[in-house]
Amino acid sequence: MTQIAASPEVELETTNVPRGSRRRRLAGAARKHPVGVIGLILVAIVLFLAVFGSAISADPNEITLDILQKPSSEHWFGTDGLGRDYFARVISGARASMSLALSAMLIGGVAALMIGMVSAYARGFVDLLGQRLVDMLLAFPGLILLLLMAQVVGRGWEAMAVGLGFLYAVDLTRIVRSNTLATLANPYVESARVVGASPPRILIRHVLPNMGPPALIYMTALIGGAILAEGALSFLGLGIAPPTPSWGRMLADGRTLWREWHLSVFPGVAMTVAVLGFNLLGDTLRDVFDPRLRGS
Amino acid sequence: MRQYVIRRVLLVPPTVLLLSIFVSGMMQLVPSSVIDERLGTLQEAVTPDAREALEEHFGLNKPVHERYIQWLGQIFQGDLGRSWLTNLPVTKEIERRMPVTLEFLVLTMLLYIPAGIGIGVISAVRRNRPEDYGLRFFTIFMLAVPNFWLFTLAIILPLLWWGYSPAVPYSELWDNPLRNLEQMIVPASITAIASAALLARVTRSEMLEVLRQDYVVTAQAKGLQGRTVVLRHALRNAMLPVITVIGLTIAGALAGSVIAEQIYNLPGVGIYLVRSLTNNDLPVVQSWMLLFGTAFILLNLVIDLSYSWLDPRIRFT
Repeated sequence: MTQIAASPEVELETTNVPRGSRRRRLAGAARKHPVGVIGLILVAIVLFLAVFGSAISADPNEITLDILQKPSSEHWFGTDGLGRDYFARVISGARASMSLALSAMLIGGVAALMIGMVSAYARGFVDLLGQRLVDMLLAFPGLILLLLMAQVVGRGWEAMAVGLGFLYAVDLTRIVRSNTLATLANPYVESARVVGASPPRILIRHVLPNMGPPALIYMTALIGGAILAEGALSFLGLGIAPPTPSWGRMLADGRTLWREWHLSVFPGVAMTVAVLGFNLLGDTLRDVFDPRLRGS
Repeated sequence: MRQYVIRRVLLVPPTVLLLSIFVSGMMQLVPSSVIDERLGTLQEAVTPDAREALEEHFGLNKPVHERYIQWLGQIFQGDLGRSWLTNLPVTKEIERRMPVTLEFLVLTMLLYIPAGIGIGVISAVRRNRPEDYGLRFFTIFMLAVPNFWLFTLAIILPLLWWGYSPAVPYSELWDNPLRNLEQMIVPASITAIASAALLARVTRSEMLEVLRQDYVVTAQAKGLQGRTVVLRHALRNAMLPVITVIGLTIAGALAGSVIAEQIYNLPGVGIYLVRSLTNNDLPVVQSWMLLFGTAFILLNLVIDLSYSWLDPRIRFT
């Protein structure tokens, strides 16, 4: 046991040797992957607006008499049919979209880790049943499963996070399972078993640490999809309930007021920027850390 | 190989059975019942006796497993049940609506496959030249744009600029082919281009892989025309993952048609599912999901089997 505990320190020493080298390495990585840097910047902007946006913009739900104003210096993105400041609404849409996508990832990630690791460890019938279940769910296009989930779990924010999380768990479970199988083949797992470690201990202490990075990278690449899925659901009127601003909902409302072009343009642009950022970042992370998937 | 095919085919029935249990189970979880939905504000006025009679009418008084077995028995006789909303048989509705969705899918695929493979091949052949950068930027961008936004813009902008909008209501393909095409072409091309982005990326990376192979160099060295090398020697060998992506896109486009049909008012099966879902029309949703889920499972099977058929090097043991 002491030997296993000692290994992280050894790694820390090697990474700390010359001072400032880490910064230089980061700069080198950034030069090598300019696309990833663009993605990171876009993600940072969207996350910043999601967290601090309410401080720099007006109240997104304040109804005024200035209805359907075109964009101006006072209302950057104009106003909607109820005179609400559209810039504030687009910004607060970022908060709704981000918090939903991130919590869905968290829920889906935890569920996938548990299901995938247990399925791979148990093997036999449990594994077979689990894999058939995953196969079956993967056979469905995501949107159709989501529509079903939305109807079953209801229209609330929490329900949508669970539904989306469940959907991505299906995808992630396969990655976790195959990674677990590979990890379980290692000699240190065997030796842990020999000294009498219990299955939960083996999974948590010896398998889980190997699972974090691939799952995290994969999840970053999935966030873009989650944002799009939430948008599509809200657009169909099955997503987050009003008056909480949601990009999909705003686009659906903008369609009925088609003479006001700004209502249909800005939420779409915001959504594209957010998805683009996460896609670029996710692709780059995958390229850097998982060479097997490079270029796909 | 033969063993692999048999194993894969034998796994289909249990997966479909699992699917039916899943779909039916999900339906039990839907919180509001059809009776509340249809009575609306009349709920208080209904006596418990009348409510029981209603429950019996919809078969809701029986236990879950009995309802499931009854439904499964019906399915085996080719009866998908009746809509609670319209009392029409589900088979009739799907029969009537399927041609619309199929036409949309075929049109989308006709535009999608050449666009995706074409962009991918050009991008790979002109690697790291302006064309490649332009096309790659385009595909990355298209993967991030929400398709329902594009649908919306494609309706709004022509309306604003030229006062143009496609003719309503929907006309059948055989009644008025031109009008039908006018209504279909815009949503189909948007879906096609949006999904072509992924196909183009996969084609590009596969082509780059293949173009590096010795036999491509040999073909070039013996003086074959560039076009022959690319199309006959390289592209054919790059097709394998491309076919998987095409197969997955068919499933994805079917899901995408839900939104396209909704926005463009096309009376297909997708809009039918959304309408039935929002109205809690459970028999329709349940049978629809089983029917299409089975179709998706078979589609996946065909993709997997085509792999070993197309590439004899792959041997599954």
